[in-house]
Amino acid sequence: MPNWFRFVIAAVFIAGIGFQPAMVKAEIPYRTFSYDSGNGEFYVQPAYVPFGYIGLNLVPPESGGPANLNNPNDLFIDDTDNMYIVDTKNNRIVHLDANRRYIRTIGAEAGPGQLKEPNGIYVNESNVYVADTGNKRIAVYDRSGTFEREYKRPDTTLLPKSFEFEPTKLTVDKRGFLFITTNNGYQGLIVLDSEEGAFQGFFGANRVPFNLIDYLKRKVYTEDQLKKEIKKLPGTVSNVMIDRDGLIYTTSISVPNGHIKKLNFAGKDLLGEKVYGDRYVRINEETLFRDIAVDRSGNMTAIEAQSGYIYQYDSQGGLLFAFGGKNAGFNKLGLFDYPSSIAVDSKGNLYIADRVSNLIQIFRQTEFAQLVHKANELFMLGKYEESEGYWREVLHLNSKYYKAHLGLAKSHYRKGDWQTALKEYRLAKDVQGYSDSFWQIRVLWLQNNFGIVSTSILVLIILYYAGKKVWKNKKWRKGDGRTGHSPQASHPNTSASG
Amino acid sequence: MGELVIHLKQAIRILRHPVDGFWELRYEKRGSLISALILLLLAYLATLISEISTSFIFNPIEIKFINPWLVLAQVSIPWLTWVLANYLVSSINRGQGRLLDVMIGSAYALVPYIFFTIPLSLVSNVLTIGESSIYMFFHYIIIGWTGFLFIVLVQEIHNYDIGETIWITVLSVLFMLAIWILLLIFAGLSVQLVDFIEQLYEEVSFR
Repeated sequence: MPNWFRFVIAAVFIAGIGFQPAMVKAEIPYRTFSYDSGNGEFYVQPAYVPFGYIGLNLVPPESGGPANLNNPNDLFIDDTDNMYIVDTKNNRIVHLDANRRYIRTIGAEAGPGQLKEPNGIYVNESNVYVADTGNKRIAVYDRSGTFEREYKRPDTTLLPKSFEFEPTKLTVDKRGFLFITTNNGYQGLIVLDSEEGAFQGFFGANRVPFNLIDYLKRKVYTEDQLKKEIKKLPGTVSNVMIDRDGLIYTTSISVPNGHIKKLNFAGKDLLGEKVYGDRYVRINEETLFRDIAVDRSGNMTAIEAQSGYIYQYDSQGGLLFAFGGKNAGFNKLGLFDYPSSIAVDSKGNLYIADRVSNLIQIFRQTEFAQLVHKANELFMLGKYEESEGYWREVLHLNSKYYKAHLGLAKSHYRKGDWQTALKEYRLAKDVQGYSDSFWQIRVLWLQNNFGIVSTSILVLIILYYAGKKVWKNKKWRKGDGRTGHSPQASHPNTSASG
Repeated sequence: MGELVIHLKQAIRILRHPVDGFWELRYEKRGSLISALILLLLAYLATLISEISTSFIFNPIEIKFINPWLVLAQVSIPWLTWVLANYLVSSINRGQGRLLDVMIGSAYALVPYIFFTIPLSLVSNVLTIGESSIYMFFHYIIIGWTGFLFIVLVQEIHNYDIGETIWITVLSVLFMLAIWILLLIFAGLSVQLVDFIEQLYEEVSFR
């Protein structure tokens, strides 16, 4: 590299870290950021912008219930973009059509289908399933809101006596099996079958972190002492959803890693239990992922209630964008008091319920986010060449977006253009990729210059031995080859041998 | 001028005969403050150049984010506190070195670092992650050698035996840490004090 010497001179004279230019948009009350592969934070232009809210005068007075929402805790958007809002403190489900107009309420009339503090909902082609927390049951309605059946606490010896069946969220797979999260459900999801609601087992439980001190305690302590220890419980599963391929996504709280899991049929996490949310663990602040929504290309958007941030990950758990924040008295669209649920519609709009302000905010993708999604989707499918054009457009909008550099790097690497791949990997701060491309370049260089390399090594070896011989002869001739080696002896007269 | 050359040549002698080298440095005046400052400047330049020229694989930061002043602080602050700590600790433990001797000696102890950091950083440019063990091996050798010279320096400058040397070195390092912690506390409290005065001023000026 001929440039580096110029950098030496420049670096000596220029002090100060280059600050990234701030991208502030007056109308959006938050900054959008992402993390690069070196885990460094960088700002990007807005990926999602708030463009409206629903929740005020939502329910017409003739239906009998209150007009506004009270403590909305779950949202569900079905394949035809119908939207269901779990209105917890009003004890009802509000059903809206694709244009967000009121259709009906479910579970408000007295009778067997009346709800008491429901918390979760799942809707498939035939039924509406509601986690009726206050009544300790799952209530099932048909699509027109008529009560059909319920699932109570499963009658099984496998659940401990003290276990309270208080379902909070649920999802249903293609077989009709129910996957249910419960209050303080550290055992994981409860799986019930569709016919009689029989208990099928637990699914996707978190593990207890185990450390050296626990190990020593277990070795050293007596049984009585061990009983007195505070029981370590695994983190609880806070939410669950299922995608079109039958993969089950969960969010967990009180866990050090694996806050978001993408579980296959066997209950294995396909994302590898990474750390999600903020890159730093803060004192007295727990990462509180409350809900997750997965769009049609597999991007996962999760809400973190502690900070009010919305984190969007790609289908392999790499962070695309993070935005949002806590409402610190500004009451601006785009900030949250306590985000409780998130849903995504077929156009990729995000709906985020806030259980304190009792509103549902709507966020629209910007052109930038659409480009990133398109490029990343192709990239994830391994169509690196096709994704190249989109990544270039992304870079045109934001030259810092590291995923674009990574995408271009992989594309060039696949094509065998190692030099460009090297450059792009460096911009993407991907050390492994950089090293791999460099290895290729080095092999190529050695192949092309094998003659020169071997000759110069040979010449060097000959020169070394020849030089050594000449040197020895010279020393021997002068006769001062030997001087005293012991330190004591050399102290008095070292000035001669300097 | 001729003297300065002799003084700088002593750096190479210390590489080959550390014990004799430091002895001569102390008792035969083979080093001076000027040569020590030159060596320190070289150590700073070596750090800076190796930061810039080390391969991205072993130093994954962008060149534009390298701050020469920060590098200066990284080199000079530990060195200065070491000199101070070692002088203060040894002067109450019957060490014979003067402050000037400790300063000159500590500069000469950096010689292996000065000589071999830049070649290693250049070599890193032909290595990949797979060969990182080669890089790390030489990296640790440089650090170990430099550390060894610091121990020899304590022994020879203050005329200790080997047990005393190790004890004094450990004490000096501990005292270095103590200095840093005290400075941090002092800085924190001063910031608070300045903040308090500022707020007091604002409060009064608004009334």
